[in-house]
Amino acid sequence: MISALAPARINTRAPAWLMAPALVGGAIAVLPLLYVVIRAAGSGESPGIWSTLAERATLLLVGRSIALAVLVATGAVVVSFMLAFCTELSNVPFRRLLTVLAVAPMAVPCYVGALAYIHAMSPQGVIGSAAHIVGIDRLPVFSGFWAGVIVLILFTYPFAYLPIRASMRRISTAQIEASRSLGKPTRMAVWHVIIPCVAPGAAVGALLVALYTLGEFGAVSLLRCNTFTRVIYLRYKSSFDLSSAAVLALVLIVIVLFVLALFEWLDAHWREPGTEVTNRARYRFSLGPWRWVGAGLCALVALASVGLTVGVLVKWVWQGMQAQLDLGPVWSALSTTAWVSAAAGALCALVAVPIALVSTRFRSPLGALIERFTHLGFALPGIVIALGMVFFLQRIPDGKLFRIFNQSWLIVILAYVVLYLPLAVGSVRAVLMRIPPRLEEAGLSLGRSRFRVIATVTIAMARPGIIAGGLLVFLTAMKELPATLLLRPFGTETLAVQVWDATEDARFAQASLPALMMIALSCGVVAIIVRKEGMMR
Amino acid sequence: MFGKVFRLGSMGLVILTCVLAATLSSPGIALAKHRDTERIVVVYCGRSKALVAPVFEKFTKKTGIKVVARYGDTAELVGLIQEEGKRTLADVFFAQDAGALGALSHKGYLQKLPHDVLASVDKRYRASDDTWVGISGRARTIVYSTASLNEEDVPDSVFDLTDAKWKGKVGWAPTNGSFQAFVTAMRKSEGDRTTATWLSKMVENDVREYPKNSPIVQAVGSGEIQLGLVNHYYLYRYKERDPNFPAENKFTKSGDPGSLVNVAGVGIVQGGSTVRYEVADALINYLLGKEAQEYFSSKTYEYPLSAGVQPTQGLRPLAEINPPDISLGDLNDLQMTLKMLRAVGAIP
Repeated sequence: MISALAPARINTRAPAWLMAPALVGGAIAVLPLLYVVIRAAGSGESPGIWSTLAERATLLLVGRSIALAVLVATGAVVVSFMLAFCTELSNVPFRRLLTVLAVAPMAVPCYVGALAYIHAMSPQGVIGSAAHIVGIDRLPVFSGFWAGVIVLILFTYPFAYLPIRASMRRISTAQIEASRSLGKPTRMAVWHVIIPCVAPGAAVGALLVALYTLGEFGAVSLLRCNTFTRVIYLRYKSSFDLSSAAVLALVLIVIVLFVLALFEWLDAHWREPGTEVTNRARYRFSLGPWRWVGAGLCALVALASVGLTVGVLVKWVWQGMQAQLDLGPVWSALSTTAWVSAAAGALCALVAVPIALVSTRFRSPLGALIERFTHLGFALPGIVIALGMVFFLQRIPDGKLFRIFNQSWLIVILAYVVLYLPLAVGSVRAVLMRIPPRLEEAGLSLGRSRFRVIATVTIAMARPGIIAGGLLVFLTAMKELPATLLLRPFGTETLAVQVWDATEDARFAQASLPALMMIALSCGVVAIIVRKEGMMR
Repeated sequence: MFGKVFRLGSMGLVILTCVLAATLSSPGIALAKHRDTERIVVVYCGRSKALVAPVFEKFTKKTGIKVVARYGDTAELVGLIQEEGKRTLADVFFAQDAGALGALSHKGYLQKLPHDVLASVDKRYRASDDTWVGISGRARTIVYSTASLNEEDVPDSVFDLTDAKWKGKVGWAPTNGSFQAFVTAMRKSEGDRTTATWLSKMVENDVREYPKNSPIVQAVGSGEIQLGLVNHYYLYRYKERDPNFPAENKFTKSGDPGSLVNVAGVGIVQGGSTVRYEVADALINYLLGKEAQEYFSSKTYEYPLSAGVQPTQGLRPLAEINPPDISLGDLNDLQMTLKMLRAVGAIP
């Protein structure tokens, strides 16, 4: 039995051929920061920006955003832990179906979920009418801080569920039985084995959920849950001044860097025990009759998120059947959305590999910095990213290169990469941390070059994580709205754009068609992944 | 050994090739090529696609000029035009409100419009430096409940709404853009002090808050409140569904800030060639023509601004509404307005 505390990092500097693509990836990821800094520098003449920053109301909103992020992240981790435990470590029935259902909320954009909840809680909605039957005359209007917390937890928890689930799948019988052999009852295995194994994954998931919440705008504005992103948006709307809005975005970046530093500190303290997984048999806790309760809870979460949303959408389509519903443009938007998101996923996975390798395997402070900066794009509102991409596009002089990027999907795909790179990097890092460097050293000692070893051994073993990262980006990019609206080529639409377009006019039946299409496509992809995993077992 | 590397590498290569191939055939390159030769006009449009697309189609049918439009939020499109700078593809900017047009104009992004276009619209509803023109108007009004009030009972100035007899009976929507424009107009015509006093007095008088204009009209109809500060056209949309809806509009007296008329309007963006200016001008002329003006009026109940076009039946003639004497383009200065609203706690 090899030492259980072998670290994933080796004590050499990263080779140049790996550092170069990592730097390219880092350069792409840092574009929004550069844009914000350049624009903010020109804000000297902007009236009122410093007084706005110092206003008590602004500071309150900063606090509110942070509180929202912390609460949503905690709630997401708790929900994900419960779901992952049920589907991975217990004998709950219908596990594969429940896994698909657990990831399904990722298919639903938060703003669509918010719309569905607002409708459901209103007197015409299902929850509102149920309350009426019970005797409550009128439910309070579903809005405000706690409404935002509930909706965001329900629709962002899959970001935490995936890493936690991945960690749990790696827990083998050997570990549980080792804990048992030390005299601890099976229940205590939860504390001594599961939580330490899951903690890093949970931290990654919590970080992603927190950053996503900081930059989220659609759902929080619908629910009138005022956060700092709303202040940024209002600044664009009220002053039409790019510089002062950039100053506010800079404040958001500072908050994000602070959150990242916090997680970095936590990460250092929760070093995951790197074990050589010799016994791959999975352990399942036998829950007895409680397994039905477990299944019920999982189903309840799925019902409360995807179930309710799909129900409301179908209801709207049904109600709008008399009016003319146009299906044609929805099909073309479906194919556009699918290939653009797929391209973004593939590109993200490709760019993420060198960054993950450099920051995980080698002793490289630059690599760690790049990995940290990839998170910035994820937390910034889409409008800042979009304007940043346009800013840099305009720096390209006239010519073929400019025309390739201008008004093409390439710039949208790049924006998606900037936005969602941390998803792919996190996924690849997670799998890399579990591959002991000893395997690479074995290859090196046999005379192979480091390049060959990494390419053939490491990447091959990391492939599930790389693909998972790409798929995660694919699923998330499908829902993206603000950057897509501004950057897409003329006359084109994605499904998310069509949903927004229709909801702007309160044509909810027309909005439900692309929304349902998005959910169907995502669930289909997730179901295929889960099935493939099951067949490989 | 090398097989695996080869497979992974080639997979990545195939994906990237697909990406590049697809993007090289993008519409953007085609657009850039045909721009100055074919007749195309590019519009950045802050109004909804469902509303405006039919107008563009009719325009193309009539003139043969193709319309390529980007639909989005007005404020975001202003940001986009600013970032795109000189190489912006936009020819025409169709904004939801005058503040956005004023902002672009002040920063020098709009060109002067030709004289014939300007002549057809009253000078209150276009830029003083001729850089933008209103297409349709939205008047602020007081909607009142006919079930409990007669027209004479309703005050004819927003300043009378702070009276004790209206305690808890008035509704407003402080997060709504039109309301904020109204408060800005009040600041410009009456001064900051008077506005701040009015706002705090309204809050002391238990004014009821709603998220948007529609809920206010709904509340007036249901009797929840008696008076509401809204845009004029919401009432007509309710009456369309239910002719017996128990509410009416009252416009405030001449010069009162409560009868502000804000406009959705257009401007021609800087940087285009003569050809692009011509097609842009053609589009604006069409939008100010009878067909388009009557379309907007019938679809949204907004006021047509082109001289000689009558509004939809039942609307109070625009000439009878006397908005305060301010420049609509100045309504882009929302900073102070938001600060005041935050100070009284009307918005968070």
